[in-house]
This record gives sequence, structure tokens and C-alpha cells, in this order.
Amino acid sequence: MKVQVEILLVEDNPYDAELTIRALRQNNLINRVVHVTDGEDALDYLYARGKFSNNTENQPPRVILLDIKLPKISGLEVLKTLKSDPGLKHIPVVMLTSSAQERDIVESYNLGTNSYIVKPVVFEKLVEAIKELGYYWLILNQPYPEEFR
Amino acid sequence: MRINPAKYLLLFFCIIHAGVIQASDLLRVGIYDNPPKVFLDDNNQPAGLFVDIIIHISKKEGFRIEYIYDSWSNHLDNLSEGRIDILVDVAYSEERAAKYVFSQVPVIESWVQFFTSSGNIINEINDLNYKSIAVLRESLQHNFLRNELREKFDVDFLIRQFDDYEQAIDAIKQNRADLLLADRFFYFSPRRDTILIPTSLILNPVSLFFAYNQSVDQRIINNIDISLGKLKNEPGSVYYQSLNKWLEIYEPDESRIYFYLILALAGVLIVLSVWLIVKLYKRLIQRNRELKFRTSVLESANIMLEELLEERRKTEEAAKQSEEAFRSLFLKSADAFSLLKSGVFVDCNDAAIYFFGFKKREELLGKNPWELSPEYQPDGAKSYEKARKVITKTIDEGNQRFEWRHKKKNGEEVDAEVVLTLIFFKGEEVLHVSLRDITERKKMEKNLRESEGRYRLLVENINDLVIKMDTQGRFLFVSPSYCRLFGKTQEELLNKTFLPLVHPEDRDATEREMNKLHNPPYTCYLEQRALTVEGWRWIAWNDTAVLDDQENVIEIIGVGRDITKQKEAEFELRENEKRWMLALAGTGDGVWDWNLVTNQTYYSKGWKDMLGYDINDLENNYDTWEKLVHPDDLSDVLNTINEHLKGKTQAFVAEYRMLAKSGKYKWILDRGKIIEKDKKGKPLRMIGTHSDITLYKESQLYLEDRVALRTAQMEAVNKELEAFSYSVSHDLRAPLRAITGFTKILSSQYEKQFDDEARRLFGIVSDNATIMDRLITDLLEFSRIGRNSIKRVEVDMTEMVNEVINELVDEEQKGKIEFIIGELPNALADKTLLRQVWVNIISNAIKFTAAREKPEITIGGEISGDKLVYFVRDNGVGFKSEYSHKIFQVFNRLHSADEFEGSGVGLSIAHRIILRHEGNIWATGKPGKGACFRFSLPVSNSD
Repeated sequence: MKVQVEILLVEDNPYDAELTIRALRQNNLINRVVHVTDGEDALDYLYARGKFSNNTENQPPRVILLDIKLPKISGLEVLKTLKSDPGLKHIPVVMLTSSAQERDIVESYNLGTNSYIVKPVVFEKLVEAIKELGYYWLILNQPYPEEFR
Repeated sequence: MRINPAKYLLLFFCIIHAGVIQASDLLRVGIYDNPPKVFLDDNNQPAGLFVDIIIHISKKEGFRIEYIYDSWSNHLDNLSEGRIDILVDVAYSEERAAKYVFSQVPVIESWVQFFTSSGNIINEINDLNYKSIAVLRESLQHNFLRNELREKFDVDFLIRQFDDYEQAIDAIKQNRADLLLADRFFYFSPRRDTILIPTSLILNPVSLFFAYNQSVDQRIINNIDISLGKLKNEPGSVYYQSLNKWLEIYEPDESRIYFYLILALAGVLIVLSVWLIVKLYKRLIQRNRELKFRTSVLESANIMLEELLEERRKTEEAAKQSEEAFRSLFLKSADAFSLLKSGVFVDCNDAAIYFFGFKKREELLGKNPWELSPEYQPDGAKSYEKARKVITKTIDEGNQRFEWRHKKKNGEEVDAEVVLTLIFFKGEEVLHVSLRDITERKKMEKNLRESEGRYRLLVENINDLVIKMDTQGRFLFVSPSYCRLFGKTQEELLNKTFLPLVHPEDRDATEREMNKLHNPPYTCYLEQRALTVEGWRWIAWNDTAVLDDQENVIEIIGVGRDITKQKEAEFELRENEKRWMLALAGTGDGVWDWNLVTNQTYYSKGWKDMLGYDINDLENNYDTWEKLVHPDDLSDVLNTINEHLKGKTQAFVAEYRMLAKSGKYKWILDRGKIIEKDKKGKPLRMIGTHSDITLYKESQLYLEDRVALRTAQMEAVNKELEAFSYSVSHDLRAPLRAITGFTKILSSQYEKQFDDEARRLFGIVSDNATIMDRLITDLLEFSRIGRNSIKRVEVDMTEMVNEVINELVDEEQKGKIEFIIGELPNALADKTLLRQVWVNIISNAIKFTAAREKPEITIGGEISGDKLVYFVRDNGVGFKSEYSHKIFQVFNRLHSADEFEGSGVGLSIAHRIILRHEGNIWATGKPGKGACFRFSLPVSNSD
């Protein structure tokens, strides 16, 4: 069965992931989330390979929340691969990160990220940020038309 | 009217003088030797006609007489200059009247008369022609002869002057003079020798007077005149008695005594005559007898005489033939000969006729030499007078040789050398005249003199020394400048050698140089010291040899110049060079001196020592250096030198390696400079120094290595630090997020299971996690500032401060806090970092004034010297000033976290940013009174 995945969350820290998912849930976005914990899985999922090879029927996510620090393949490498693939580059990517390291921000935008969010330590603020992000990318933003994929 | 004081003074003296004469009754009478008028007698007493008269008058008039004896000519001066008051026996002339005062009454009349020895017969004026006439020097007779007789009577004669009659008479006796001219009284003078008899020529009657000095009182003169007049008017007076006495004038009417005396004399004469007649008769008879005897003697003598006559005739015949021979010699000679008798040419040869431009002998004969001369001779003398003089001289002294300018018939003037010879020709004194035309010679002499004059002018006026010498070095000529310099006369120097004047140390060199004169180009230059009047002086000589046809040196001409000053300057220069070379040797540096023309290069001992070479190991030329320079360094060094040679650099400085004797390379610091250029600016000479900088260079290289190593290490550390902070920013935050996140979830989702205390404790956990997050953020920021480079741009401080305030203060606070913003000068700074400073300081001020009812924050800035100073002052809680130094330390807080939130890193960050901008930051405060934060930035861009 074909499942419309709304959000792909790439996050290695389980607590961060849980908090993020909880925040998404509070905003009623949780049903459409797929969570992977490293860059390799993220790419495997998107390209339906490895352990996701039988997921060929899945639709591409409407938005990818991508942590920068990831095991195996870093967030920036994943971003680079996505944005250089004509089939995937139209998927909006929001970089989620713990730090406001200038170097990361600059690099991300250079590679074509659509947005950049510093994960707030205070939970309420995280919820607030996820809510705004979800509304923007999932509700206000018109997806790339199906027929041009 | 102008008063001439001198005139008055003179008048005054005259009066005094006249007064003296009257008062003392003394008249000084000049007497001299001219008997019988005036003279000193055998007892040396004044005597004579004039003396008699003056004695008589003096007695009568009552004045005393002092006689002053002198020569006539001296007395004329004595009278005019007041040494005598009266001079007797003075003939009147206008010339004399201007100098003396003459008496009104003449004493006696006189005239002049010629006296001669018996040989000369003078009957008329013309007999005086060509006679030599003796007179007393400066006497009236002399004047008469000179000025009147010649002119009036057209006669010509020689005048010979004598101081007294005795000398004049001697001259006549010795035939040096023909005649004596004296006044008539001379006839009566005892001085007259009996040889002198008066001639019938009587001339020039004059009156003789007393002459007075002009200062003699006129009354005395008048009185003497009156007395004299009386004497002359009174027959038999002293005047006439004296005349009789001295002039032996017989006056029959005078006295009978004379008549009887004559009668007695006549009787004696008759008796004597009778006695004489008888005596003579007796002698006559005796003579008759003697005559008969003598006649027989004479007859035999006559025969002898005839024989003698015959012999004489033969001699005369021979003489005549000889004379003809001589005459033909005389006539045919190429030299002009003539005979002069009594000043007239009486004979001459053809050459003489030709000499004067005549055609016939008759044209010349009968003429005087001065007729055939210009009026004046070249020396300005009148030809006539000069000719007379030389004729007399020839007669007196013998042959005369002299130059004479004649005038030819056509008026052309011709210079002649004349020889006058006195010869006796047919019993007469005749002058033989030899003439030689020397016009050409004179012309050549004149040219020679002129050219010599020019040459002399040159040689005498140049300061250069000019000498000429022979091959032995003996002076043939020395210029006046040379004589002056050496303080010797030409006579002292000529034929002496120059060498003794030369400094002993310079003699060898001088001789060596002068040997070059014997080979082409036959010149030499030498410098030598010579002993002059100013001591030893340096003289430079340019000598040139004078050669004969075989190119042998015959003379040497030298031109010298005193070069002592240049030499001293050179010496000074050398001494200077020596001094600085010594000074350099002391530093251990080496010196080189490169002649760019010859490439000769001097390397000092220090230069060679530095590389370990001995003095003689290296040649003193440029190549030596080039060979020793490290091949890798050579082209750079040569470029540097060329830059300097082209004038692009003030000096040449280079560091390069040179090969030492040990085979190792040494680092040399070479510094040089051009010190001599020619007139066109082309470098001629360059000197410089070598310093051994091997040690320095090696330590420098070592240091450079160390610095590179350390830099690499630092960079590695920096990278590690970066990685560390990177991981901190990510990994340290995740747990915090988990703490706060799950605490929140726990407290909200399981709310009902917790009481209020539990909820408060959850709050504490959450707050501390938040604080930790803040600490991490600030720490990262703090470390980031130290790492990143700063980019300075001009910052509009007013705009930046306003932005920061707007950002920091929300709407609610805005109404509450009063911001007073003054002038804020622009700064040159990193915009992001500077903004951070403002944020930190202003937020600090907001934080600490929050509790105030009327928070007030003043912000301003100013330019202070070379710094920009900004301040932020608040009326907040302030702080104790002793803690001001702690404010900027990391994590240091002056207030507890309960009172004011904050990590204590903010001001540290501001501090760090300002330090990185080479500025300063400081704070002042008082508890409860507020604080003031100031920071400074440099005005100019010095990054």
C-alpha cells in the first residue's frame, strides 16, 4: 500500500528524536513521520535500498528534518547528495542542529538547505519551532507537482 | 678779505730780525776771495777795496761787523737765506734784484776782460771762436759768457767753470783752457800769475753794489748809501785812498810827494844808464873776439848741417810716400772717415760723403757735425752742446766712442757709432772721425728689447716658477718668482745645481723622473719638497727637454707650481682614511676599496681574516671577490651593486655567503657606497665594509625554523580546539535538551501525580539546564573571538548603537528607560564583533538599572589624542571600585546569580574583542550610584 510520508526525521539522538516527535505530535503532525537514526538510513530510505529496498511504493517525504551531526554519513553529506540529485533536490530540507556554529550554517546554505533551525534547549520553544516549521512546510508550502517528478 | 696768517707771521719775524740788527749794531758781512776787491790777507784778515769802504762806513754809522768767509757761489745762497746780512761786490741783475735788496749808490764800476797766456793773440771777438774759456762758477762772467756773448756776437766757444782763480789759472797753464774771463780788478789781483796778460777785449760794463738780505732794515741801507755817496763825492776820501792803494792809480794832483819821488827816481835811472853803457861797451869788444872764433866753428858746422838736411829730405820723401799710402787707405775705406778741425770737417773719404747723402766732397767740407744732425739727440740733449762736450772730452781725455744721430742731406735720420780720435796732423790737433751706420743694428736691438720685454713681463708676472738648466742640473735661468720663493738672487742661483734645494728624501725620485727627459716624449712630471723661504714646500714640476739636431738633450726647461695646499689636503684625506680604517679594524669588520676604472681592489687585513685567508693568499682585484661569492647568491648581489652604481640607491647593502679558506661558507653583511665620481657622474671609486653575520644568520634561520614549527603546532592546537568546541556545541546540548524536555513532559503529562513541591523541584532542574545552555553558548562565543581574524571596516557607531538598543529593549521597557545618546564618532573595526561589544555593555547596563524607578543610560564618545573613547554610563546598582579589575574576567560575577541573571562571560567577551582591536576597556563604579564602562579604539587603521 502506498503511504504518503509527510516528514522524514533524520536524528541519531533518541531523546532529541522523541522530543521532536512529541512536539510534532502536539501539533498533530505525528502520523506522517518516518524516523531514521543515521545518514546512511536516510539515503537508503529515500533511494529505497538496503533495509528499505521493499519500500519502493513509498512516496517521497514532503519535508526532511535533518540533523547535522549523524553517524556514518553526516547531515551535510546527505544534504549534498540530495541537492545534487535531480529527482530529490526539490524536497525541502530543514537542517536541525544543536549549535549555532557559523561554519555549519554557511555550509548548509551553500549546499542548498531550505531552512536552518537551532534546536532550543527549552522544550516549549522546541514545540513552538516544530509547529511553525510543520505548518510552513506541510500546509502552506505547495508541494512540487506530482506529474513533473 | 682773507687774511693770510703765514704772511703776518713772516712780517712779524722780519720786524724782530731788523730790531735785532739795530739793537746789537751787528752786520754780518759776506766776504770771499776776489782780490783786490775783497779777500783775506796773509794774516788771514779781511782786506781789499770793499773791506776798506765798509769798515769806514761802519765806524761812521756806529755798527759792528762780523765777517763770514765763504765761496762766492755759497755766499749768494747765504745772502738769500739770511745767513749773512750784506754781501759786497755784487753786480746788479734783474734776477738778483728779485732775491736781494741792492744799495742805491753803486760802489764802483767794472767790466769784464779776457786774460790769456802769451801764446794766444786775441784782438777781436771772432778770435774767441772754438776757444775754451775759463770762468768762476756762477759768476757774472759766467752768465755773460753763457747768455750774452754767444747770442750777441755769434761766436762759439767752450766754457769751463772753476771754483777759484787758482784752478782756472792752472788750467790755462796746462793748456786745458785758452782764456780766462774775469772782471777788470783781476788785473790788480795778487792772484794773477804773470803768465796771464790782459787782452784788448773789454766788454760788459757793470756797476758793483752792496747787496742786502731782504730782512735788513731799510734805514740801515739808506744810511750806508748816504755815507757811500759822501765818500765818492769827496776827493781824497777813504774811498779814493783805497782805490789808489789797491788799483795803483796815480793821481798827480793828489800830492807833491809823488812829484819829488819821481824826480829822484829819474836821477837814479840816469846814473844807472851811464853805468850800463860803459859795461855793455866792454862786453861788446870781448864778444867781437869770440865771434871770429865762432864763425870758423859755424862754417864747419854748416857742412855738417847740409849733410843733415839731405838726410832729412830723404826721410820726408819716405814720410810723404807713407802718408799717401795712409791717405789712400783713408779715402778708400768702407767706413766713413773724416777729419775735424776746430769743429769743422776739413777732410773726408767717399764713404763719409755717401754716409751723409752728399755727392761731392765740397758739400761736406766746411760744415760742423751738428749742422748734419737733428737739433736734439735721442737722449734730449741739444746736438750742438753735446757735440762740443764730446769734442772737448776727446781733447782732454783721448779717444771717445759713442752713438750719434746724424741727419742726411735729404733729412733722413741715421744712427751712427762714432769714434773720435785726437791726432796731430801737420803740427795741428785734429780729430779723426770714424762713422758707422748702425740704424739696422739699432732697429734690431729695439725689436729684441721689445720681445725680451714681453717675455720678461710674462716670466716676471706669472706665479709659476720657470727655470732653465743644463743637463747637469745647473741653473741657466731662474724666474723672479723662483728667486722670490727661494729667497735668493739670480746671481746666487745661476750656475748652481738645483739638487741641494730638494728634500733629501725626494732626491732619488727626482733624479729617476728626470732621467725620462732623455727619451721620447722628452718630458717628465715630478713632485718634490724644496726648501723655500717659507720652509719645506711641495713643488710640482713639468720639465721639458730642449733638443739639438741629433735629439741630444742640451737644456731642460721646467715650469713649477707650489702644490703644498693640495698635498696637505691629500695628506689630510689619507689620515682620515687611516683613522676610519683603524676604527673599522677595531670593530673586526673588513674594508674594501674598489677602483672601478682599474678594477684594483684593496682588501683590508680584517676582510681577509674574516674568511680565514692570509694577506698574501688573495690578489687585490675585483675578481678575487667575485670568485668567493656563493654561486647561488652572486646574481642577486651583482644586481644590488648595479642598482647602486646606476644611482638608484643611496648605498649598497647585501647579505650573502662567501667561501672561507676552511671550505665552509660564511654569511657576510656587505655595505658599500660610491665615494668618487668623475665630472659626468660616472662612478670611479667605491668603498665598503664586510661584517661576519654567520652566527646571526644561523640563529636567524634556526629561529625561523622554530617559528614555523611552533606555528604548525599552534595551528594543530587551534584545530583541536575548534573540533572540541564543535563537539561541545552539539554533544553537550543534547543532554540538556533531554533534561529540560523530559522534565517538562513529566511535569505536564503527569501533573496530577506530583504535588507543588515536586513541581518546584522540576522547575529548578529545568532552570539549571537552561543556565548551562547559556554558559555553553557564551563559552563557545568567547573562544570563537580568539580564533577568528577581524575585518576592519568603517562603522557608523550612532547607527549601530541605535540598532542594538532597539534589539535589546522591548516596547514595554522603552518607555521606562531613558537613553541619552551623545556624539559617537565613527570607528574602524570588525562590525560583528563591535556590535557584540555594544550588545554586551548596553545589555549589562539595562540589566543593572532594571530595578531603578527611572533607569537612565548615557552613551557617548570622543576623539582623545590618537584614540577613540566610548562610554556607557548607567544609574544602576554599581559596584565597588576595588572589584573593577575582576569585571572582565571570565565567569567572574560581582553579583549573585539570584540577583541578576547572566553567565559572567559577556564583559569578558567585550574585553577580548576590544583587546583584539588594540584598544582598551575599563569600568568605574560605586555601589548604588551606577557604573560607567569605557572602551577605546585606535583612530587610525593599524592592522
